[in-house]
Amino acid sequence: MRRPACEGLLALVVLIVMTSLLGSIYIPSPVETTYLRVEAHVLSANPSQFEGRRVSLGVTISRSPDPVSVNTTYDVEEGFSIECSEALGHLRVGDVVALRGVCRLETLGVIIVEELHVSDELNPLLRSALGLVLFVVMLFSLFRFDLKRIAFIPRRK
Amino acid sequence: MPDLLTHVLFGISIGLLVKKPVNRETILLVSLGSIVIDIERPIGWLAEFMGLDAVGLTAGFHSLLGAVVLSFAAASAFENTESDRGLCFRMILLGALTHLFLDMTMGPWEEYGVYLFYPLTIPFSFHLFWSDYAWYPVFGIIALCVVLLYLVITHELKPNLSRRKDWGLAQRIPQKPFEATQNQKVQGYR
Repeated sequence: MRRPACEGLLALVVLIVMTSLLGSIYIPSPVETTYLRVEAHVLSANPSQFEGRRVSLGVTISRSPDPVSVNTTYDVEEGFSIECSEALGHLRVGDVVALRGVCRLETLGVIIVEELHVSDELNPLLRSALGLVLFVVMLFSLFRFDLKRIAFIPRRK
Repeated sequence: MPDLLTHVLFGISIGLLVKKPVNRETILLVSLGSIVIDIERPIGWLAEFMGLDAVGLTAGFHSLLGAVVLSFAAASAFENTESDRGLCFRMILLGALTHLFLDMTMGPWEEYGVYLFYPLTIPFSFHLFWSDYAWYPVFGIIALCVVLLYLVITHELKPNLSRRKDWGLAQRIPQKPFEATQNQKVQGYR
């Protein structure tokens, strides 16, 4: 393999390993905000650290009860439950939700949701696929990939 | 993140402006930079498929550190000379910075934002839209139309849709004064 390609690949691997290691620990932000932004898996691993605090995180709904009551408790894929009032609307299994709420995982076993946004996952994905096709067409109209040198080579010199 | 279509459209717009005369390789490299940061998505999916925990990828890749490393990695995938590689890196980095700027329009809540100085977790954002905002691609199309109009008005670009190989972009390269003088002299002599 060419030397620059090796260096590039090595840089990418180092970045992936470093970010993965740092992502698994909670680094408090130096900026004070009303709600504490936290990764769901970090919260799930150390609920006592966040008990009673206002938190902001992203979750995916894994179980939705039927029938829906006034305060509905949903299970999320990240391994805990969230409680939503009727005013916040009904969530479905598979919904990707950004939420703000109070962490009561130790005492009540839930996060009491105060505000939420259900993300539309499908349409951005379709638009991204279109963008990717556009880019790939541009790339291969100007370059070709050489397997021996593991590099993109201009089609015309 | 806004969708890749929006990022590519903004990348093309910046690529059209950054180098005179308009150069297709430059447009491509800036476009590459504008989407290379989102490579964390397929890497994350792959890690998830392999049962690995790769949660921090989004924050790490969407930062100045991530932009520099990914631009370097992407530039190394193109075969060129040392000096060309520097230019290649700068163009991809420009696209990556465009990506970060666009991502900073996301996250209406105050705690959301791009961690530009990762691993410091200071969020930077204009707090405008959610990432699934439907009008993002329209902004990209508007940006591209404005840039193309500007280039046509300033005679940098002459649309010629019959020239497919040039993506319909026939360039008007101004003749250097020195060359003009030489040509006139030769014609006069004949």
